[in-house]
Amino acid sequence: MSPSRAFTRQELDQIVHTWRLYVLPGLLFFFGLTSPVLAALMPELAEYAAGETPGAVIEIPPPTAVDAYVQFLGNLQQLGSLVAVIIGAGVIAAEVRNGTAALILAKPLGRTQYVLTKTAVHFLLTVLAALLGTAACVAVTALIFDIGPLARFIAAVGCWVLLVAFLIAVATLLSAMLRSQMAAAAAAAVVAITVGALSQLPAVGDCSPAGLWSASGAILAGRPSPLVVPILTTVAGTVAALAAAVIVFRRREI
Amino acid sequence: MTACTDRQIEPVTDRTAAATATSAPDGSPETAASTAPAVELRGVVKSFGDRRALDGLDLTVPAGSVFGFLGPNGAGKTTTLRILAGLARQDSGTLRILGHDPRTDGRRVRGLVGYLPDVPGFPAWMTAARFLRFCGDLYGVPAPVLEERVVSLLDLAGLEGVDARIGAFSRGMKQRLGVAQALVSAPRLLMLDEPTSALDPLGRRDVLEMVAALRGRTTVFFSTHILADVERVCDTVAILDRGRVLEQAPIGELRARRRERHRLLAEVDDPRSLATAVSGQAWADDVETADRGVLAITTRDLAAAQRGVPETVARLGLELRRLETDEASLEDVFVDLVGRDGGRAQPDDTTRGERS
Repeated sequence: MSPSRAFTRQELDQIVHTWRLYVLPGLLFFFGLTSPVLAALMPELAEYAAGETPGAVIEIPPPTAVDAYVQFLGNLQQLGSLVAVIIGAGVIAAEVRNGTAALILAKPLGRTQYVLTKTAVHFLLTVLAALLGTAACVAVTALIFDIGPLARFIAAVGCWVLLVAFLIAVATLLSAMLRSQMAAAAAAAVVAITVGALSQLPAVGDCSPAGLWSASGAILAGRPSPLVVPILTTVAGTVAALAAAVIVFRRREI
Repeated sequence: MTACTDRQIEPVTDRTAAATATSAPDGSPETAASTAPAVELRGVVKSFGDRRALDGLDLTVPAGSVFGFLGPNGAGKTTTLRILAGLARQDSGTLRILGHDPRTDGRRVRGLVGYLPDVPGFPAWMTAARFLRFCGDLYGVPAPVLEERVVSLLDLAGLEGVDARIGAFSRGMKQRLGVAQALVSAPRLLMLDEPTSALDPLGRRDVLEMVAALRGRTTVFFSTHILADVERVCDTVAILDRGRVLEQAPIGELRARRRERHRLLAEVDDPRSLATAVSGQAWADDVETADRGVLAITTRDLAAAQRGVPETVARLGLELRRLETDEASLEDVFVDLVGRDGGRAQPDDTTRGERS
């Protein structure tokens, strides 16, 4: 068995045998189940909130499948992104710190393979978690409402997957750079929040990965949104971040 | 850990030949590289900030030797091993491992070397057997050979039948597993960084017996600050202090050099009087009181001292209880070279980030 294959298998096994199997998939599955329910309950919740405030009148149109999908997408973009990058920031820094990386990297496994395998496996887990959450959301939405604009929803989730690939690559770079897992996670969280904030500025968002954040919402709502440049910059940014992570880690002392 | 026998390490050492034969660049058996020293360091310098951890280190580890890399904490042992393992880089100087340059041939070199860090880290969720299989797979050890070797190494490490996850292991169990994983590829060079430091006396004895059993089959390069470990298993030793090799030689040769100055141990009823009387003698270079009032007399003229001490005892009317020559130990050599403080003023060698 080649070192790369052995290491990939071990990384996959590690997910199955540790808490990582449950955190992100569990979170996104939970969002998938609850987002349609929350969307359905939104009018009642708004009515209750209005009742607490004398004179306030809140009118909410009857919820639809789109509302359920919007709710899920919002959770995915905010908490899902945050958890994905925080976990991603730990995959290298934690192993360097606890001495496992030294034991592995003294063997004939290249540092490039080490970085790329860890990133790929974490990205794979994130995609599977997104699929699980999406499937749960579609199923519950269909039960409560109807199937709704499924293709647009899947395309919107696809935009998020592309964006999260970029965020995970940046988290990997931070994890390869910083000795402290906490510092890497904090820095990665700041990057994710910044990308979310930049998406609110069309001038920046339309020509950067942040554009995918707003584009996914627009796709779901059936509005036109620039996609080509955000996709290209996201792919370029992902490749650049991974290349930087490899270069930094190859030079790093373990 | 069970006592090490040839039978237990046989699969590992058998594999050594095979691993060697398949590790040449063109798939042919190693030729020139196999006759080269196992490790050659020339003028290696490594600094952490303002502190120079390795200060022009020159070192040659002969192939096939059991080589003790001895030095006080902070001498630069761990830094040297980390550089050799490819985990750190020297600022200047050259190194060759088994005839190869690790900078241009790093992966191949790592395939020929087994390494145990000073504080090994393991995936806590794995069992010992699973971890050894994983390590063997990283080296590309064929499955049937690996299975046999895992059984053998678990037995050697005293971990056979232990199904608990590594996260539940004691430090000693982890250390023994660390030694086992370093052997899983049947390496041509085994580098162990303080392998006995976390072990109880029995575990320490077993690791040392295992190391001794590898003599002539593979090169063992192990760092330690425990003199007794080096004396027990090593045939060659390098004494390191403040990033430089102070002395490198076969242990017997080091002791022989020390024998140019002999030591007589004399036990009498009044050691203070004898010390005063002996101090003025031409044949006595140094007199000091050792344990339990025994006088340690250093001399370059052993015959004169062996005559002079009883004469002095008789002249003083003392009772001579014991008079014997003391064989020079590695400790004597070490103390002579490093000094009595043993480098204690230096930072801990194992401090992460600024290791030395």
